[in-house]
Amino acid sequence: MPENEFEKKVSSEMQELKFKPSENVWLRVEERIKKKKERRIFVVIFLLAGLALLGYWQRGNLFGEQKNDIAKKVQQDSPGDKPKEDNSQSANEINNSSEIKQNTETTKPEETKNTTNKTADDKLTDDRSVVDKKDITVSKNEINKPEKNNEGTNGKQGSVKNKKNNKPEASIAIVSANSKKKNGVVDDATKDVKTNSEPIAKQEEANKTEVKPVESKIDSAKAVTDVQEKDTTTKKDTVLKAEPTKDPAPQIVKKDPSEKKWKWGLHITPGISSLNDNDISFGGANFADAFAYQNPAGPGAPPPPRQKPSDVKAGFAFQVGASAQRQLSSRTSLSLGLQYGYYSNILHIGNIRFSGSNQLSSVPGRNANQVYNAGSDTTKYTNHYHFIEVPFLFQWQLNKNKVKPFTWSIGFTVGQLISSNAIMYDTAFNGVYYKNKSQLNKTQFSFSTGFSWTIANNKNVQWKLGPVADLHLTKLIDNPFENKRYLFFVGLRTAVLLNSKK
Amino acid sequence: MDTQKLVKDCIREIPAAQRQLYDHFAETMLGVCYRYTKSMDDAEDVLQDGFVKVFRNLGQYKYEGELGGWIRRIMVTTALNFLKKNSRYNHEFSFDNENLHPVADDNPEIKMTGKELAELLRQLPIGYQTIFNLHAVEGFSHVEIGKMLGINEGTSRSQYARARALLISWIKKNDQVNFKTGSYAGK
Repeated sequence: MPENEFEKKVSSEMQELKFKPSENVWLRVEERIKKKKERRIFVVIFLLAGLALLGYWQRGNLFGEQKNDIAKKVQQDSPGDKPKEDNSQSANEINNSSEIKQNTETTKPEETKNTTNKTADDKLTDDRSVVDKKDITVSKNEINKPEKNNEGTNGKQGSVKNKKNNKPEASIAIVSANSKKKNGVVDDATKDVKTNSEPIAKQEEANKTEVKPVESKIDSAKAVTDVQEKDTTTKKDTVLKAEPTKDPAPQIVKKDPSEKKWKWGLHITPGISSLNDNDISFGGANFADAFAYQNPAGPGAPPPPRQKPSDVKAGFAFQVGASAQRQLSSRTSLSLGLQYGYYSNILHIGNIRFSGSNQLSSVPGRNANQVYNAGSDTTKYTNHYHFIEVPFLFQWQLNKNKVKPFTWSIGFTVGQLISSNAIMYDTAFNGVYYKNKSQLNKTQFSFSTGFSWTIANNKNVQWKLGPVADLHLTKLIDNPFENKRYLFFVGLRTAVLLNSKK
Repeated sequence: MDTQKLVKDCIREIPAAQRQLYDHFAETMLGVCYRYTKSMDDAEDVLQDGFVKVFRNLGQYKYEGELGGWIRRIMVTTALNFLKKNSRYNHEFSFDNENLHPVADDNPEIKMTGKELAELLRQLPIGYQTIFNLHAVEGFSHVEIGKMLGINEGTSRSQYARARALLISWIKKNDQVNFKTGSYAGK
C-alpha cells in the first residue's frame, strides 16, 4: 500500500486521467454484444426445436410402453394363457412363420380389443430412445480472478531481456534514456496522443488518496473535453468491414410502412410422406401390434396361421396453397395459409379375398365390400389421403441480409381429411386388409417447421426455396390392431411472395 | 443517474441504457487503459474488450461497491490479459533483476500534471509500468499483484522499487524532459 506522499500524489493524478475514446470503440462494443445476443437466441431456438422433437419422439415411446405394460400385466394375470411359439404354419401361406408369435389363447374379437395383448414388445422396446444429457459448460469468469500468467511471466522471470527490435514503439524513447540518448526520438503513437489530446477539464472528485481506487461519483457532471477525435481511417479495427452489413440495401433497409401490411403468396411443396409411430423413419415398420389380436378360433383350437401385415413405405406427397404473411418486426413475421395436402404411403398386400357387398358382415362391427389378403405381397397398394389444411407459422429471419433473407419457420397446421382410400389391417380371417373410414381421424393437428432461402427478390415478388417438415400430432388411424400411427411429411417448398407496392 | 435501474436495463439489453453506461464511464476507463498500454490504439482495444466483458457480466454485479470500481477492476484485468497475450508486450512483460541505484529522495515534489505524469509512467518498461500501476495507483498489495501476475511477492516488491526509483529519477529531471514531443531529452 502506498504510504507516502509520492504514491498519494501519483494515485490522485492518475485517478483523474481521462481521455475521450473514438466513436469506433462503441460501435465495436455494440457489434460484439449484439453478436452474443444472437448466438444466445440461436441456442434457445435450437433447444426448443430439439425439445419439441424429443417430446414428439418420447410421446410415441410412452404410449408404446403403456401398451406393453398393459399387455404384460394381462399375461401375468393369466399364467395359463402364455403365448407360444408356433412353427407349424403352412409354408405356402406365410413365408416367415418362425418370426411370428401367436397367442394360443382364443377369445372373442370384441374382448381382445380391450386387452390388446402384445407379443412384439421387444421390437418396441428396442426402439426406445435414450436421452443424452449434455453438460453445460459455464464460461470462466475472468473478472474477479485474473488469469495467471504462469507461462508468460514465470518462465521469463529473472531473465533480462533487452530486445530492442521487439520493444513497443513508445518505449523506445525512454528506454533509450538508459542508454543516454540525448536526441529526441518522436514516437508516432505518443505524438499522436499528445497532439490530439488536449488538457481535460477536471471532474470534481474529492479524495483520491485512498489505497483502493474510488470511482468518481456517478452524478458528477460529465467532463468537457476538446479532444479531437483521431482519424478513424488509420485504425485497424473491423468496423469498416462491418459497416456494409449494417446498410447493405438502403432502399430496403429504410422503414417502409408497407412492411406492416399483409403480403400474399403461393407455394407448392413436393415431397414424401409416411406413417410413423415411435421414431421418424420411412418404411420398414411392421404392424407389430396386430399380432396381439387373439385367435378367434376358440379356446383349445390350434392357432391358425396369421398373415404378417405389410411394411409401410413412404409415398409421394405434395402441398399446394396460398398464404398471407404479416410482418411483425424487421426480422419476424406471421403467416396464415390455406392449402391442399396430398399424402400417400405404400403397402404390399395379397390378392382380393372377397369382393361383393358387406363381406365382413360375419364379423361384428365391420363392414367392407373388398377384402384383401395380407402377407403374400403380390399387390402394391397405395393409401391416398387428401387434406385441406390451414398452416399458422411464425417466421424468423436468421441472417441480416434484407434482400435475400434466410428464414426459419415454426408453427402448427390444422388439417381436415376430405378423402382417402386407405385400407386397414385386421386379424379377422387370419389377416386381411379392407377399407374402414371410420377408423381414420379426420381432423389432424401437426407441428410444422422449415427453412427457406430467398433465391430471387425484386420489386414485385420474392422466390423462396427450402425444406419443410410436418409432424402430425394426431394419430391418423384408430385401429386397435395397429400401433398409433402418425403422418409425417417432408418436402421442398417453392414459394412466391408478392411484395406489396404501397 | 439511477445506477441500479441503469444496470438492470443493461442486463435487459436495452441499447439506450448500454450506451448511457458506456458514455458515463468510457472516458475514465480509457484513462485506466491508457496507463497500462503504450499507445492509444491499444488502450482503445483494451477499453473495447473491457466493456464487452462489462456488458456480458453485468448480471454478476452485486451493487456492493460502486459500479465504477467494479468496471475499473474489469478494465485492469482486461489490460493485464491484453499485455500477456499481445506479442508486442509479452516479450517485455517480464521481471528482470536489473540493478538500479536507489534514489535518496523518496518523495520528490511533483509539479507535473496528471497527463504528463501518465506519459512518464508509460515510458517505463512494461513490467515496471504494470506493477507501479497496480500498486501505486490501483492500490493492490504486493501479495495480490503476485497472484495476479503469477510472480512472487518479493519480485513484485523489488520491481516496484525499481520502477519507483526510475520514475522519481525522471521526475527530478522533469525540466530536462520534453514532454511535448514525448521524448526524453535530459541534458
